[in-house]
This record gives sequence, C-alpha cells and structure tokens, in this order.
Amino acid sequence: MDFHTQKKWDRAAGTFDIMAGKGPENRWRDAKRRFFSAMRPDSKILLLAMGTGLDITCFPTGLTIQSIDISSGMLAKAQPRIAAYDGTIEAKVMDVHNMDFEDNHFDQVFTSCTFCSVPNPVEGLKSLKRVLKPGGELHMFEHTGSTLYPFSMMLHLMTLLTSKIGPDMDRKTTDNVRKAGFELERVNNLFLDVVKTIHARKPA
Amino acid sequence: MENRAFFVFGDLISNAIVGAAAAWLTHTLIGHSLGMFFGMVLGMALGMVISMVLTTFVLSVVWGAMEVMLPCMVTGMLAGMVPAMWHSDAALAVERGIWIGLVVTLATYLASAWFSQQDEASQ
Repeated sequence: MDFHTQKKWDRAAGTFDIMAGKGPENRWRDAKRRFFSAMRPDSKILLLAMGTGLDITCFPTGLTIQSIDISSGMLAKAQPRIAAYDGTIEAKVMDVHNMDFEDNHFDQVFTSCTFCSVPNPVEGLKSLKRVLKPGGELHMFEHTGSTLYPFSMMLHLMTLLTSKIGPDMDRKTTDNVRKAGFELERVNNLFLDVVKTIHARKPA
Repeated sequence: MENRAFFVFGDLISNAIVGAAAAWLTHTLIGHSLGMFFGMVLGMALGMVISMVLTTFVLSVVWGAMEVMLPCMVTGMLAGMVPAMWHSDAALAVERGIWIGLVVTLATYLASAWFSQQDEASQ
C-alpha cells in the first residue's frame, strides 16, 4: 500500500465535495452520463478510484460494480451514495499497484479523473491490464496535460502546487495507455486536449 | 464546444472578473515604474497568483474546474502584464483587463472546438 498517497487523499476527503462536487461535476455530468452508459449489465465491471462517489448518479441502474479506492476516508464519504444506488456496488480500500483480483477477471474497467493521481501511471495501467480479460475494455474519463502553449505551461506550473495536496495536472495519460500495452481505440477531447475520454482494449 | 448558457455566461464572467482584478491590482501594486521587462515579469506573476486564488476558491466551485482555471490563468497572466508595461489610469487598466478576459474566452472556445475534431488514437 502506498501510504503517502493514501494519506494525501484521506486528508483531501474532508473538502473534496466542496471543491469538486458542484461546478466541476455539474459541468461534466452530461459527458459522464454518456461515458458511463458503456457499462453493460452482462459485464464484470471494475471502477478504479470511487472517491466520494460523485459519479454514482451517472451510472446506469441495475449493475453490479466492483470498486476500489486507496483512501478509506474517501470511501467513508461515498457510503451514502453507494447505499442509494439502484444496483450493487462493492467498494474496497485497495491500491491499484497491488490489487488482489485474479488475472483476466474483468470485462470492463472504468476510471474517472484517476490517473492524475496514480503515482506510477504506466505501472497502474499495467495492473489494470492484468485484471482485464483478453479483449477487455478500458474506459477512461481523465484530465491530462496539454500540447497547446500557454495551457501546457499553466498545467506544469499548477502541478507544482496541486501535486502536494491532490492530483497532477500535466500527465500524458494517452501515451501512458499505449506504453502499458493497450490497443488505443478512440480518444474524444471534451475541453481543449485536456479533458478527454480514452477508450482502449487489452489485446486478445 | 460548450453551449449551455449557464456555463458560457460563467466562462465570460469568470475571465472578465479575473482580467479586471489582475489589471487593477497590478496597476495599484506595481504600476508601470519598473520598466517594460521587470513590469512584464512581475505583472505576469501577480496576475497568475490572483487568477489561481479567484478560480480555486470561488469561480471553479461554481462553473467548473479546468474549463475555468486554464483560460483564467492565461487571462490573469496577460491582464497583469499590460498595466505593468504601459502607463494607464485605473479605469483604463480594468477595461483592458476585461477585454483580455473576453478575448481569451473566445480563443479558448475556438481552440477547444478544433481539438474536439481531433482523435489522438489515430495519431
């Protein structure tokens, strides 16, 4: 378990909904509903980094979802939302780098603003590849760095501060998905080249 | 590209507020007495700090994270630079700051529309 990262997110849990729960979530809600509509009832689904459960209202109903988060503080905040979901969500405290799921277990893995915070993103993605079945789907809703100046510079500067208390803002997540050995299928930019959905597949 | 009125209004008003605040504070605290180069650097830094504080604790909470923070930081940087580089009175500095905010908002929308047509998977 990465206790440094765990502690950071346990600390952030107290104010997370105030900072992220209103404006950012309202702005992304329609896009997230479209994104999570790819969850299928016949799939074994893993959601990486449940956080405080802000995304749960965007899930289709009636699903069974396994979820993990490194922070027990975040999951404690998520409990009322998990209980209110019309379906089944099993949430566990677990580090993506040391997941105790079997190899080739899941049909679909979803992440939502997660790989800005995983300390070793390529290793984390390789862990996801391990638990996905051959041909399994990886769906990511992420914010990343930018290729466009001056936004790229701003994101590097912001990361100097934000990485101490929360996420990195300048990750090259699309490249990392390739490096981890996934077959990239589609990338949709939602805001500049910063907020995007990434759809990839574990080679069959 | 964003087309919901609440968020379009939010983007415009956020950048206008940041532009006005950065320009006014730079005009008040730094003025244009440092010369063009040092004025530019200090004004830029002050504008970015102001924009980070305003967006993190107020504007992003209402209108969104990246969509507000990124253009507002560019607005803050530019609106902080201008009054530190060229002489103006406070009202003109604020007016310039607001215009910078509106232009940055428009440029961000155009860039975002262009990126939405790209698919990095095919690159």
